[in-house]
Amino acid sequence: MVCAAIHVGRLPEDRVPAPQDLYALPGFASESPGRAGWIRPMGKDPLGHTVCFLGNRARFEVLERAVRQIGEKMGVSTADVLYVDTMPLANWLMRLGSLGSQTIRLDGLGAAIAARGVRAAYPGLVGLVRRTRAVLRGERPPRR
Amino acid sequence: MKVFYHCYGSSHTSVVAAAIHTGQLDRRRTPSLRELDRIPNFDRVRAADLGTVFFAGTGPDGEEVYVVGFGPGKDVIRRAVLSFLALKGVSPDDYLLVDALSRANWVVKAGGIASRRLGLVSLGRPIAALGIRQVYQRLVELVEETQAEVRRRKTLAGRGLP
Repeated sequence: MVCAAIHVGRLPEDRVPAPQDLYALPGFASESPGRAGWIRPMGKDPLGHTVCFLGNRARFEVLERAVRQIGEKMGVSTADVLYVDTMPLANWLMRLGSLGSQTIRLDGLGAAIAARGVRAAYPGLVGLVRRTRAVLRGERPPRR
Repeated sequence: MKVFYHCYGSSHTSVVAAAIHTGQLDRRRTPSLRELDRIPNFDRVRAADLGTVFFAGTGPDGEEVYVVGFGPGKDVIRRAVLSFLALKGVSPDDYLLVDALSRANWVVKAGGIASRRLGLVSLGRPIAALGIRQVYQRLVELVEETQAEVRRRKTLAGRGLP
């Protein structure tokens, strides 16, 4: 969600956002457990790409393969879809915050912990977005 | 219309449900261990193939039947598939995503873990097949519900109704 927000310009790249900026993201402060997996649009980037996000507790490569292959069987072109795994950048505070807000329903406490984790990981998240943009511009090969 | 049966590893409940659906297995009697062993992909798909979609055949109303394993987090992957297809404009009336794992018992799961995860094929495969025999009628019911839904959607589509 945070990477998608950076990508479309809803969060800054040159500074770490305030917790309030993170709470303002849809679902950041209060996310129901049954939402994981739903693909939600965040907006469009300056090049016109639709940027979406989803929570993923499954194995990334399995989810990507299943979505891609079922899409192909249904006649949907998936060549224009770039999947980006942000989980390797999730620190323990982000995981703990997510657990707090989604699993044991302590929304306020969970969001505060997650925001602290996001702020700590923020430079890495900006870096991932920049690498993703480079892939979209054809300057880097997609991850395989 | 396309039907996707999914389970954990596309090795047991989904392939048997698909085999019943496509007429490879007789729904009026429980298959023998040998008959189960002859089903393509039964207890044979590798963990590295999770998420891969396999064609299983064609159903009685012309629907294409596939099997796929979602591994852990099946609910998350189900939602991802459903929302992806919706974003791409695919009508939900054109496909069915059917959870075959919900009809498994602990015997099927234990056999599957022994065979597919631990590599103890000679031990796990017969246990999984035994479990499948125990839940066979549940799988037949699942297929009959699925085929009824396929027919219902075809009838509505024929009348031009959503």
